[in-house]
Amino acid sequence: MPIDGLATQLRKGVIEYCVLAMLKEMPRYGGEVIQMLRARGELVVSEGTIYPLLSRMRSEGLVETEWRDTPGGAPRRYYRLSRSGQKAVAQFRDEWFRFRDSVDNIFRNGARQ
Amino acid sequence: MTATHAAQLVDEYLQRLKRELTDLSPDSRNEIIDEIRRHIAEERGGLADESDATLMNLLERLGDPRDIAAEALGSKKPRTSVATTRRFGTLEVLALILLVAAWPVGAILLWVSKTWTRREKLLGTLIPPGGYPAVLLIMSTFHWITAASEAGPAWVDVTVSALLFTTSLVALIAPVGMIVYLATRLRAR
Repeated sequence: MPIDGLATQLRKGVIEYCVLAMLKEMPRYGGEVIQMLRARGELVVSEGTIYPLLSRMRSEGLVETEWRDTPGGAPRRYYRLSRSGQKAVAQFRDEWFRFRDSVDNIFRNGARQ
Repeated sequence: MTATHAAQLVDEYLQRLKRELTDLSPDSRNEIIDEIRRHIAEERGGLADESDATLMNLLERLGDPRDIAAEALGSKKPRTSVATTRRFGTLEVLALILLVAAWPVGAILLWVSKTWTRREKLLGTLIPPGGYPAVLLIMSTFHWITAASEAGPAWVDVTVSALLFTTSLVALIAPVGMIVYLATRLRAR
């Protein structure tokens, strides 16, 4: 597998949960989520893909939306974590730390018996 | 510098996105296009110096409409396949019971069901071939062989008896084992 494809595969599995985690503290609009992702490294290549992702998470009931007026601008659609979204984040968190520890363990100590 | 082709660039981008999203439900398509249109408008508002180059840069960061459509459509696919994966019902339970009691009917139901894989169906059909009716038939044949071997030397009798006993045991256990296996495959779904 080319390393480029590998990065894409890795991103694909976690991006959904990263977006959910960003909505944990407060509702945010799409552009805000994208800015945060941009500031936190190379998690998204095509930023526009966040919108279909948010749309899907809404139809799956992980997030809820509401329109909010912005002073001097067009209203924005804000995404808020639903109860099942909160559960998904918590589950992913536990799973992720276990997974990460296992992989770290292999890469740090794998060569030694 | 000004973006002389601004309206055209944005319009083209959104048109391409619309085309790529044709297969999506109208609701989802409109929602995604609307959000991206708003995103572009907002980002443009934040540009200190809008030129064709900065605008193109903005659209490039958003990504190829094909990638956005792939995310939108790709996420649809697994969901439809999950929806069509059927959990087991009366048909599967009936198939398992009849596979032992009335083999031909059970085997047909086994193949009718969409829950098992082809490999599992093949295993279920061949082990045991014919279910318990066939097993009983085979065992009655064995009985006849045993009776015939008793006429021969003692070691033949013992060997044949041991062989037939083992075969009978396997023939009796195999169908139950297969039913248990097929049932666990159902639970794994």
